[in-house]
Amino acid sequence: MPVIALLRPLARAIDWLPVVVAAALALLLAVVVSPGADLEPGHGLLLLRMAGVLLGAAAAFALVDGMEASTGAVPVPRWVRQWARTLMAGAAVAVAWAATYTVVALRVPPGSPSLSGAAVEAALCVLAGLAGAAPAVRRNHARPAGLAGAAVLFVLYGATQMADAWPVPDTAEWDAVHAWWLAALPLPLLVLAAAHRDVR
Amino acid sequence: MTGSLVLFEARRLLRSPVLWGAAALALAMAVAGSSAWLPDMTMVTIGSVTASTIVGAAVLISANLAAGRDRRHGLPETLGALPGRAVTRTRAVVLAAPVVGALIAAVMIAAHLGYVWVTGPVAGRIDVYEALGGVALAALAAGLGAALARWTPWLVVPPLLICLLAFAVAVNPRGEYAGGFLPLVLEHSLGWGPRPSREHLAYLVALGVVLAAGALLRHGLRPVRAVVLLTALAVAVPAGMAATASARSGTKLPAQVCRAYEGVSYCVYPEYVAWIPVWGRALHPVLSAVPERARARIPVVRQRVASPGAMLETDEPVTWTVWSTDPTLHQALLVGQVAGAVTGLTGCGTGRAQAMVALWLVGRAGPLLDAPPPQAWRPHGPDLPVSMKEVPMGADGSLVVPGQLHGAQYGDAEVGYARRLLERPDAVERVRAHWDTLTAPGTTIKQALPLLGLREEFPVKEEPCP
Repeated sequence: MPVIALLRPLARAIDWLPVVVAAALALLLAVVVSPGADLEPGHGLLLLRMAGVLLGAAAAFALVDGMEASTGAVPVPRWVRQWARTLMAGAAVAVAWAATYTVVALRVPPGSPSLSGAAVEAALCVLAGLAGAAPAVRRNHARPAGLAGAAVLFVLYGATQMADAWPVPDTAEWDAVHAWWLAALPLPLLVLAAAHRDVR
Repeated sequence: MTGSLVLFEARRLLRSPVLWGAAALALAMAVAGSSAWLPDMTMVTIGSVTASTIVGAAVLISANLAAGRDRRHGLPETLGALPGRAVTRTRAVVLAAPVVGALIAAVMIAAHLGYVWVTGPVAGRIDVYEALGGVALAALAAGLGAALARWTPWLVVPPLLICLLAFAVAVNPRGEYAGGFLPLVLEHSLGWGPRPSREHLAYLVALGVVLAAGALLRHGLRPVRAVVLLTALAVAVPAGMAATASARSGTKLPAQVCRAYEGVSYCVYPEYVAWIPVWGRALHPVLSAVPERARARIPVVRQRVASPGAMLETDEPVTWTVWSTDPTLHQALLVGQVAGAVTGLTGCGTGRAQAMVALWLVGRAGPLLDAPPPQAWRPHGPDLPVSMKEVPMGADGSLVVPGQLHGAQYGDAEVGYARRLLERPDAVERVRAHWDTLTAPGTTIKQALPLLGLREEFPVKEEPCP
């Protein structure tokens, strides 16, 4: 399978440092906030949300292909390469977020409301970060294009703050708002599909 | 050479759609955040500065890109042939970016404060030092962005740092940890005393200078840079400590002033006199339906700094230092208190005409909700269903009061008859004509029905409340 054969060189080509730093920060904070005591559920939720934004901003850098001028001539089409990068970065940050969630879930007091609904927020943040960077990466092959993911995430965060889209658990809004987050997931996927198209 | 580079960077940043887009987003967030409340300029200023951190984030990233520009796109080779050195370019960024960032943040904050001031009615006061703190924060962000560009090669660091700072502020909204050393403290209450905004501004400005000098130090340790850094550090640390200490010093609340409005006395903190007409208008549907002499029953309406549970321990109607524009929140609580006070209702209203009339008065001022289930009346029970929303009190928590009559108990029958009374066009005349009988503690609903022209319709519980 050519795609499988592509994974190893792509994994080497991707700049993993942003994802590694973001994952380490998220995990470190999950461990060190309120040391020696239970983690307040509110702080845990805040941590998981911050981890989603951090990892989304970091994952965007994985789409930057500094060799795009040369790789344009290889037989594997651009959309395959960019989707492979997207999936690899997405998988890495999903593992990092899941690890952060596990630490938070173990540290909140027993009987606290479940924070698992925050997973859909994190999924949208990661996809929004990737979708924010993808069009920039298409036009600009340099590393600053990856920052577009963070910019889109900050705008998304500001806009959703105004819409009260960050509910707290055990309220009527928790499930209802997350249903909207779930419904919004295809939007960044559509942007990614459009931006990952072949250039020629 | 530095002068022309400073102008170049300043012009480039001033034309940046990212910075102006961030300002527009911050302004929209600030307006959205403040529109749900009557404007207390003390809190509006804090909200404005909080929203301006979006500008600060954009300035940080823009300054970072500007200061690191000479390391990208093959520029090192090109620039190597030119007379200007990297330190000149760094100096240009640390001089231009803070000024432009501060300017854009100032425009955003001024636009928000001006908008709120015009829409009024405003209470509190604009804390100029607090507002300047938002301006200084944007300048500081520029210094931080430049320092990061010079000391770290990774573009991911600025967004990660922004997330970390946002987390530190959000997890610490009252500044319990690190206090004055945080970029900003989100929450405030009148009961906490004045914010140490002057000390905090000094801290932010000095820290901005530390960061700018830190960016230049990447190009070598020079006496001027080292002296500037150490001097700024010598200001920043004591200023941060002073801001932390002042924030915890506590305060004595100012003496209240009393004003009459439509025959009711309101005693409020001096900066909140402008809100009295708002409260007066909220109570007008109640006061206009009762006889003139009944208004004498209403005690002084007193403004308090909210403290959960304290509201039910006083006989005086209470209003607060925060006031939502949603009429089902603070307004509904005040109307319920005054309706209870004017009818003389205390404690238990089940089966009593007083409760029916009080609920009718509440229904005249806003929506009359169904009676809460019996278990809701137990005081301070956890997770009890109540027929009133949780009423937010800003940094002072929130209040949940069962029912709509200041915690006085009633049932479905009282609500049902009050609704029937609301449907009658002659209700005001009948209530006024029989006021003394209807508001006598011993009058039951059954005795009141003929006086109000109502027929028996709902089963009334006449046994005393448990």
